[in-house]
Amino acid sequence: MKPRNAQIQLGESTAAIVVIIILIVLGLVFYSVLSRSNVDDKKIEIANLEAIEVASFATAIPELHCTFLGAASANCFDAVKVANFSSLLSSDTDAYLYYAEFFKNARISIEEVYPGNASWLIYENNKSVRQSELPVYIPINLYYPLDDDYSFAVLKVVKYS
Amino acid sequence: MKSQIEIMGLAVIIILVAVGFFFIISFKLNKPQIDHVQTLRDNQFAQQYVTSLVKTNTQCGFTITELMQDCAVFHNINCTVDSCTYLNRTLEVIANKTLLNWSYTYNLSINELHLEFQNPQRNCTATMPRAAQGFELITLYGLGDVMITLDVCK
Repeated sequence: MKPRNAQIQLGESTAAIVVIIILIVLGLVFYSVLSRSNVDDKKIEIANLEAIEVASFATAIPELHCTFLGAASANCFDAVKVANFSSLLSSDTDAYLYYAEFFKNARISIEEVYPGNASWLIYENNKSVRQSELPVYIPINLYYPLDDDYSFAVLKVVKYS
Repeated sequence: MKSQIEIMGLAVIIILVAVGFFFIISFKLNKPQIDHVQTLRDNQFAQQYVTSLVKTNTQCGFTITELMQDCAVFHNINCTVDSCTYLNRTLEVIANKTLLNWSYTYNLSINELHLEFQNPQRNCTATMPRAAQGFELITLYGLGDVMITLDVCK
């Protein structure tokens, strides 16, 4: 029995619809791949922004700043305060939890570059696996009040995300 | 004849979809990527670097500022070598331990003293786009001034 004309047309229409659906599905797959790469870029950017936020907070906290006659000096950290703050956060859980609200998942350290090479781990909370792409380096002066000396140091912030 | 026209119709649809994808891809790829985070970081970094650097005490006891002043005019300081040589060595050590170690493309210079430090692999020349610049002007107490500049290139 020969197929009728209407059946042939129906078959053609079905084939056309199938081809169009395949094209749409391919398009969606392609678009989702593109979107995923965009989402990854955004995640990295957000992690970097958070790192800067934490770094800004770390550079602004008065607990570590050099003070002269009560006035804080910009870009200057007192080495004695840094050492005490570091040991406080590593030994006192309450203090650690208090600052964890501000520093979140991050690693904050101070590394002396010149003339000495001392370093202090201020804070570390590494609950997540991935690390933000780049650490934030903030050049600072480290002030030794007993010697009245300034050294060149770097505040390093790595935000975990 | 009719089926040929239908095939042509299908081909037109496929071509339209392909052209659509082409436009989407070219739009996505050509969209300029402005890294606001990097810009913010570089802008603060260059100025903070220079500000901190000039206040730093050297192993000789003098600050970078004092060494710059002495090298430019006074020539009184003796740190086993003269102040210019000592300044040169100190700045090179600091730049190598920081900027070079982090693979930055930079140019740390004191033009008046003919001192310049760059990443040997990637020079930060005047024609390159600057990410940020930081500078500090050191007074020579009525005898002019000396400027230390840090350029961070993209």
